This record gives sequence, structure tokens and C-alpha cells, in this order.
Amino acid sequence: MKRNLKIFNGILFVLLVILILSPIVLDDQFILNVLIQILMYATIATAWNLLGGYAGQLSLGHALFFGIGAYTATILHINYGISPWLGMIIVVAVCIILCAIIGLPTFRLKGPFFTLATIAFAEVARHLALYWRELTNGSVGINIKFDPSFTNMIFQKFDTYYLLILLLLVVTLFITYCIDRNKMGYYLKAIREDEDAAKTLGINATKYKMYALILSASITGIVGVFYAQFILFFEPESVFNINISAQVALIAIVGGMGTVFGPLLGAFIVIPLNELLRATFPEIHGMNYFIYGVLLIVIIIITPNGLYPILKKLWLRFFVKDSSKGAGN
Amino acid sequence: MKKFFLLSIAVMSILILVACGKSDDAKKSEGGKKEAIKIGALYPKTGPLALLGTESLRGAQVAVDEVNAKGGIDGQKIDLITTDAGDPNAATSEATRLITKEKIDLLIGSFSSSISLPASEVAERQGALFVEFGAVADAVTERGYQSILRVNPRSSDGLIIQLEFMEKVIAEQLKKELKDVRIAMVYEDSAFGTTGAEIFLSVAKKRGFNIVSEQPYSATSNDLSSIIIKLKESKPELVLATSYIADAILLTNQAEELGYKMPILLGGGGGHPLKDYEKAVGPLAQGVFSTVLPEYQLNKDFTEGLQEYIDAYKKKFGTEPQSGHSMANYVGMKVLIEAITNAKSKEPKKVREAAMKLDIPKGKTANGWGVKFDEKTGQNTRSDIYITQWIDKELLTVYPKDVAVQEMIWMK
Amino acid sequence: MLLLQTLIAGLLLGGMYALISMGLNMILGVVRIINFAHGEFLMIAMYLSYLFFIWGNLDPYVSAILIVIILFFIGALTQKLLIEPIIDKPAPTKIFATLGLSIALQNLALMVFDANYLSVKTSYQTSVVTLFNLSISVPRLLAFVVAILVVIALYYFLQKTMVGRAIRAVSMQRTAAHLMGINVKRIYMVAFGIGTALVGVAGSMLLPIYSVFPTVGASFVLIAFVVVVLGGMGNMFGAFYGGLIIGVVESFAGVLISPGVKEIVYFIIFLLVLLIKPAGLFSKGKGSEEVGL
Repeated sequence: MKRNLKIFNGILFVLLVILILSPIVLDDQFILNVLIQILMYATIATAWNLLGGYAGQLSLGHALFFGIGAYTATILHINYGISPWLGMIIVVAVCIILCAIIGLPTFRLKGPFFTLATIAFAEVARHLALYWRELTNGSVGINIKFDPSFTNMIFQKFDTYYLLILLLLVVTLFITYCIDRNKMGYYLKAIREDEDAAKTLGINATKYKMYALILSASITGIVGVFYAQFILFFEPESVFNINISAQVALIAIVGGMGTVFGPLLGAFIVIPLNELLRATFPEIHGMNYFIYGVLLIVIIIITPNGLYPILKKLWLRFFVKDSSKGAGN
Repeated sequence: MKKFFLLSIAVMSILILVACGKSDDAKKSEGGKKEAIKIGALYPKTGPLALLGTESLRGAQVAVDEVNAKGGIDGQKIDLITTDAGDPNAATSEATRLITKEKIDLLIGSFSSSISLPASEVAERQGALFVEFGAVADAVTERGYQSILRVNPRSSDGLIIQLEFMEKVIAEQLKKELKDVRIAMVYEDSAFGTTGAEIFLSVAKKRGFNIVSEQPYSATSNDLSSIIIKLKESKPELVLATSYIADAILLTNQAEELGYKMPILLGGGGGHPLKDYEKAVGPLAQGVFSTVLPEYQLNKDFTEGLQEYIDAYKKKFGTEPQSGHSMANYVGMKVLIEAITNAKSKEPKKVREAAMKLDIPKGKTANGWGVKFDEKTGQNTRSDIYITQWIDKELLTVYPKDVAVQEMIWMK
Repeated sequence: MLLLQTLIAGLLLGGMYALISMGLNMILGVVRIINFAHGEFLMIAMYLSYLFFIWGNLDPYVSAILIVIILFFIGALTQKLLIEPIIDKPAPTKIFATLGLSIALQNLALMVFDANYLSVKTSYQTSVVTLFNLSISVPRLLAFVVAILVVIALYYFLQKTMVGRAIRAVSMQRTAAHLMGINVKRIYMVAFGIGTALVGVAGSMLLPIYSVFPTVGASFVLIAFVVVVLGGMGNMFGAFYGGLIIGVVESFAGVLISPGVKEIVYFIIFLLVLLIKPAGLFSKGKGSEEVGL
């Protein structure tokens, strides 16, 4: 029995590796592009999930960290020749400082007030980026010259980008998995369910919320750097936009908040849906987003806890039925 | 449990690959014959840029219809694949999809530099050709890329005509030297307004203009009274305003509300020359100047094919054109079509080469532009901005003399 | 003189903000959801007002009565069909349901009306009252007056009528109200309906001043949230004063600093209020923000 399980696991694993490497082998740039988008959002959503799903603090301002990542690394790169790889580390430091400044006061707020505060912070950042033209080039945006090299973190083909973001995602998932199974995970979930009760049990809510925020923010910032090096052009509207924050949160919610793989699942649903809808109905203006809005409502109402728990239940039923069959024999 | 996770990821990936394959069938297109020449069109059709994005696309569509009616290019019809590129991220996604999935190497667009810039990055990376018909920011053709061609003029080109107009006409009227005229600048803060303002300011500094106030603002503002109040204070004789439509309307209306008589107003394209502006502010539009992509009241001797274009537009869309943007795209599309025809190929490099060889003098296109691309930058050196003025509910071209239909009027 | 004119402009603008925010205040205060579609309800009101003008030749101030009624039902329906099924679900669900509604409505408007900027033409649109060299726009003054009337009317409604008191009870303590025999579900519908109807008033007052287009709501919705938080959730007079404050601050920031930084200024004020006195400037101490949803 155990051997069968091991073989099954092994086959599954090999299948997965093949699937992951296939776009590179097939050299399909289009699929790679879509996958990179999906994985980017999956990474940010998984990071968001640490704060939103596990700690229960709903942030709609994650674009703040995304934009900080993009701008900080790029400004350092263009003005001082600092490689984006080093830039990523600097971005993490910046995010930590930012979290300390923002987190401490806002963690006193509950529910919608916390959310509104996060929106406000991201909006302030967006306006600052628009008006501090000497630093950010304002609304014209920043254009990174296409000069492929490893130190520049610019690559001719999408393959390397794909592997890079895949790595980021796996690391983020691993971090989430560890937290989920650990003391920190329990504390965060306790805080989410009832912060006051958790506090009476001796849990330092602010400390753990801050850990979650720092992890969440830093990862998002790093993806921001990746984005800048991938797209090679951005402006305040494209990185500090509230739509990015909303999309990230949506992905985590649709996929399943508070689960390790929920956001990943959500990304695989929401991003292709977006692309697909945009490609359809080019004649009727607005039809694509109208359907998107309606679908959003429907999905949210049908699966308020996300898709992942539902899939898990279905699988369990299937799985349990199987093993009981085996036992009966 | 881990098994379950792995399996679900695997299943998801399969589903996505299948879905991406399926979306091939979902795409809509015009024409649709097997042998067709496919050209991708990237315009903002939703979101805040939708009004003029759609208007711009229409011009290209009229050009495609015209050519297809005559049998296409060497018997091959043109298939214009339209997409919605409402913001930079969508622009990048759509450009990538068109090039890597639909295998289209010729792209047109876009009305806005926030779409043009990222889309042409993609084109440069993938070896495609992006031909711009409407975005004016200089940066679009300043990167030394082989992947970009632009038919319409740049902000800095527009500046030259604008300065000429200010010097020879406005300053004349005010009976002063241009550097003694009190000038106020009001502009919206996105790339559109800011680039225009910045290049004007650098010239103004060099030539010692008297800028009495400079006010950037957000185009989505609900209230521009602070701008009017400051204008009242600084008493300019000439106001240079670069606005989109909602803010243009708001500015004019609030000036009236606050009892401020606007002096000579020169709008920098955008909202001021639009029909919806005149409809909204009525008599207050009288006398307002605008720098524009060529509009419709033009000297017919200088614009071959103008009336035919207007008729074709009306027939296809059932209304008058909203602005000159569609015509710019019409002319631009025809230029691209000619380049493809001459190249006898749809390969980006060959089309670019053929485009470089084009030599059309001014006055031979529907809006009076000529065509001669700069080899290094891909910028058309023979396209111009004109100056129009609202006179008795009509938007008439008043400068330069070649294209003007009427003398300008001056408000008391 | 300059400063006085700035103050007047700010107050008039603030009156409009107050009018738009009062509906949100009611909904946030009673039903406790962040209604992201609030701006789109404003947009619907403006489009309806426009249609009444074009087809029925009705002046926006006259058709306001019809619009208020129509929007009340739209609000009540939204509560019943969209919010009620998910009322006990986690907060993100409710927020995203309204976000989906917002996207759907914006694009529905785009499909129906196109991206054009539509406006009405009335005789009094640009009339101005001049007082000691100060210009006061008539439509804006009317909006301001209406805002005051609405606040007073709301106050009496909430204090003196049975329904009003039931609404206040539900907003203070839902469970207790339920135990007292109040039909909470129906109160939610009424509150949402009233909140939306208030936005209907705002839309009618706004059309003579602004054009309507599919994304017009987006430019007002964030300000509405700022005003509501500033004034204190559920506090009607607070929302009114909050609106005035934001209007005046915006106006002065525009004149004294630069029109471009207006948004930064009021977002910073917003953050300061949230961090120092989240219950709002005009509430009597800690409120439900400490308790959360």
C-alpha cells in the first residue's frame, strides 16, 4: 500500500515538473508571458494572504509596496548603476522601515477603518510619485533601456523571467507553509478570529501582525522590482494603482484566504479570465469588464470562503470513498 | 494532502493551457479571410481615455474599409484585429498576445503615450513594428528603437507652431513683444499635460517669457475654483490650458461662475476642441483657440480627400466625427498601407524600409500632412499641428495660412 | 478678498461633498459595509436626471423627486439581492461584492451611453450672485442649501420617527435591536434605500454643474469615504461638517500651495484623523471603529 502511494506521488511529481518546464521546452513565448503574469500575481497574493488571510487584516493598499519596489530599485539602477539584484535587498530594507512607520499606528484600527487607511497610504504614494517629478519623472513614467544582461536583470527571452518568478513563488509558498504549520500561524489565526480573546491569552497581537505585514510587504516589494525589469516601463498609475491592490486581494479571496495554495489557485483563475475577457467582445465597449464585474459578484456569493476549500472537500469525498472501498475489500 | 495539492496544481496548469488554446477561437476580427493581412490595433476603448481612443480607432477602420473595398493590398484584404488597451498593463499584455500568440507583427495605435511607450517596448523586444498615429509625447520616438514609427507630430513640433502663432498673431493683437505678454499656464498632471507644459516652460525660460502663474491640477478634480481664483489674482493676458474634456468644461464654467472674464485662451489640444466641449459650455466657447491635430474645417485646396473621409465616416458610424483624432489615424493608416504595398511584404523590417522611402509633400493627404520619416527616430517630419478657434459653434482652422479657412476673431 | 473667495468656494464645494457623503454615512453606519458602488449610484442618478431632461424636458431640480424614489428602490433592491445573501460572510466578501457591482455598473453605463460627456443646458446654470465683489454660483448655492435641508430633515427623521429610531437602534447594537422585535432585515433595506436616495438628491443637484460620463462616480467616491470617516460614522451632522472641512481645505490647498497637491492634503488629513481619533472629529469618543464590523 505504502509503495503504491510512493509511486503515485512520484508520478505526480514528475508530471508536475514536466508541466512546469514545458513552456520553456516548447518555446511558446505567449504562454510564458501569461504564466509570468499569473505567477507574479500569485506571489503577491500569497504574500498578501499572510496579512489578510492569516492575520485577518484586509489591506487594499498593497500597491504601495509594489510601487515602492519598482521605483526604488529602478531609480537606484538608473541613477547610481546599482544592480536590481542588490536593489531587491535594499527594497526589503525600505519596506521594513515603511512597515514600522505605517503598521504601528494603523494596527489599532479594526475592520473597514484599517482597509481605508491602507487605501489612503497607497493614494498618497501615488500622488507623491506624480508630483515629485525630479525623483520619479512624474506622470511621464520611467523607461528602462532594453539592455539584456544578468546584472541588469533584463533578459531577451521570457524563459529566465519565468524561472525567476517561479522561484520567488515557491519561496513565498514555502514561507507560508511554514507559518501555517507553526506557532506563528496559530497565533495569527487566533488574532484573526478574535483579537481581544487572543490578547487575553497572552499573544502579542501587534508584534505578530507586524511580522505578517513585514513579510507581506517585502515580498510584494521584491515582485515590484521584478515587474519593473520585466515590463521596462512604468508610471505612477501603473504601479500605485488601487486596481492592483484590489486585484491582489480578490485573487486571494477567490482562491481561498488563509490557505497556503488558495491564492495560487485564485491567480490561475482570475488572470486568464481577465485576459480572455479582454480579448473577446472588442466591438462592444465595456462588455468585457461588465461581465467581469458580474462574474466577480457571482463568484464571491457562491464561494465566500474561496474556491480552494470547496475543491478540498470534493477531493476528500472522492478520496475517502476510495479508501473505504479498499478497506472493504 | 500533499498529493492533493500537487494534483490540483497539475490540473490547474493543464486547464490554463487548454484555456489559452481555446481563446484562439474567441477572438473577433473584421474581414476574416484566410489570406488576409492581419494588423493589430491597440486603442483604449474603456476607462477614462475611451472617448478619444474609440474616435482614433474609427479613423483607422475607415482607411481599412476603403482599401478593402478596392480589393485590399495586392488582392489581400486587411484584417484589423482590435483590442482594448485601456492602461499600460493592458497595452503590454495585448501587444504581447498579438505578437506571440496571434503572430501579428504589425501593430497600430494608440492615442496616448502611456499606451504607446509600453506597447513599443514589447515590439522592440519581439522584433515587431508599432506605428503610432496619435500620441504626442516626444519620448515615444526618442529611444532609438527600430520598432517604432510615428506619423503624427510630437509635442515639440506642436510647440513650434504654437510659438509662431503666439508671436505673430497673439502678440501682434496685444500690440506687445511676446516676452512682455503676461502668460498663465494651467495643465492637467498626467503625461499629456505635463510634457506639453515642461517643454513650453524650458523655451519660456530661455526666451525670458513672463509666466505669471503655473498651475498643474488633476484632471479628475471636482473643483477648479482655486485655479480661477489664482488667475484672477495674477491677471494674465493669455492663458495656456492643457486639459482633457471634463476639466476643460469645468474650467470654463467655473470661470463664469466666479465672475472671471477669461482672456485669450489657447487650449493645448485635448478637451477644448471637442464637440462635447462646445455642447457643454455653449456661448462660452466662442473665441477659444486650440492647438489640434487637424480638424475638419480646413482649406480644401490643401487637403486632398478631406470631404471623402468625412462622408465615409458619417456613412460608417452615423454621426459627425467627434474630433480630428480619427482623421489623423485615417491618414496614418493609409501611410502604413502604402508602405506595406510598396514593400510587397508584411515583414516589419521591409515595411519600415518602404516607409523610409515615402516622400509625400504637404497638402496631398486628407488633413494636409506630408510624409517623410526620419531614418534614426522613425518620426514623420512633415506632420503639423494647426490652430483652430471656436467661431459661432464651428471649429474653424485659423492658422497656418495654408490650411486656414477663416481669419481669427478677437473677443472684446 | 482672495481668501474670502477661496473660503466661499470651499464651503460651496464642501456642501456638495456633504450631500454625496450622507448617503454613504447611512449605509456604512447602519449596514456596516464599505460600499464601493456608491459612486456608481451617483452616476445612475445623474444619468437618470439627464434622461428626464432630454426626453421629458424636466428640469433636474424637478425630476429630483422622481429620482429620489427610483434610487430608493434601487438601493433597497441592492440590499436585498446582493448584500443580504452575504451579510454574515466575512468582510472581504461584502467589500468585493460591491466592488464587482461598481465595475459592472460603470461598464454597463459605457455600453449604454458610450464614453461621451453629457450635460444639460438650463437657464440658471451659470447664474451668479455677486456680493461685495464675491461671486457665488447659483446652482452650487442651491446644492449647499439643499444639503443643509437634508441634514436637518434626516436628523428629525432619525430622532423623532419610529423608523428612524429603529435605524439608530440597529446601528448601535444589531443583536439587541433584533431582540427588541425590530425586523433587522427590513431596516437594512430601508437604510440602504435611504442612503441611495440621498445620493439621488446629490446627483440631481450635481447635473447642472458637472457633466455625466461612465466613470464620474470614481472621482467622488474616495472623497465620500474621507468625509464619512472625518465626520464620524453614523453621525449626520458630522458628515455635513466633515464635507465642509474637506471642501475648504481643498480650496485653500489649491490656492495657497498648488491645485496638484489637493488630494495629498486631504488624504493626509484623513490618515491623521484615522490614527488620532478614528471615531471622527465630531463623535463623542470611541465608537464602533474599535469594535470593527
